[in-house]
Amino acid sequence: MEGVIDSALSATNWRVRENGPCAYDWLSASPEDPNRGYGSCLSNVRDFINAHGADASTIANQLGNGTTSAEVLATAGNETGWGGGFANIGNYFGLHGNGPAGTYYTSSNHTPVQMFSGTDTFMSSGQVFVGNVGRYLSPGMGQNPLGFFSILNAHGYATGNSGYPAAMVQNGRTRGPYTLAMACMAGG
Amino acid sequence: MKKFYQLIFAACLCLGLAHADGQPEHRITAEQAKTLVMTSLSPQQRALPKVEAEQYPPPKNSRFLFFTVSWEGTTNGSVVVGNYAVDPYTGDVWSATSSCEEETNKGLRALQTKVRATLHLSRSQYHQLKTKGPLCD
Repeated sequence: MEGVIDSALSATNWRVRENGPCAYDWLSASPEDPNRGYGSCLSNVRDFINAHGADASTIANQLGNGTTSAEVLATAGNETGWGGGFANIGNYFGLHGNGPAGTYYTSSNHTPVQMFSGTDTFMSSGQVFVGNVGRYLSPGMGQNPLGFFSILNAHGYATGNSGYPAAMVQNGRTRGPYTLAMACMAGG
Repeated sequence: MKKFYQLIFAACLCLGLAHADGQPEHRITAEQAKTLVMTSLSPQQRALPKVEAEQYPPPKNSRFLFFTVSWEGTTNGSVVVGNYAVDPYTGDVWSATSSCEEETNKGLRALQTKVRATLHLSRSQYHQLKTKGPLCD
């Protein structure tokens, strides 16, 4: 299993161990500070990052503007409860409407939710995410996670929850999704 | 709106009791859990058009019931309001995305008091059953 994971991630700058604490091989290009305290790495978050970290890195590069894989992973983790929810229909970014693999209609109100199929639905749903939000990012924005999540909040993410940006990066007794992702990627 | 959810919740409790062969249920039902999740939302979230909660399969060996709350959404945005976990033995509601964040508000506490009374959970029994959330260290 670890060999598969390492092989899949060999093209990226990060690596998470299957057993034991998570580790992140930082490159100098990374804008994130590995010395910040993020707490321990939770197992389900570690599993999520092992499964999708390489794709998140690609998506972050496509978004540009300093966007980090941790911000992409935190967004998807928050949208799906770290791989549950609409990830079960291949949609990791809460995408509304008709998808390439069809449309899921919620049970009570029949809200259309995009469906994705294939071997890498994180990447395919991530491409739609890039198309939806990439236009709103500005240079260097990804280096400020609070700013990144504020932009998402202003453009259709966590609508009705103005506390979303702060909650995503919350640290301390309660840790938000970005902090949880960083905890694994920073070796917590 | 709050009264509406309280009425639904009361109806669910009655159904649960009738289903229990004369004995009180020791677990809440998925419908009851869903009502707890909806009640845990902020007034702004509850006011979103077409807001609803749907259960999804839990991670392996989890004791919790998991729900995604969605709304009508916008064309290029997300339909997700949040993801939540409910302890079926206590009625506690937790975030399924942030670590160790237990949801609470006045209406939710009132409903939880009712469901725990229906389950005949004393205060000490509740504290014995209460566990950490699904994302706690």
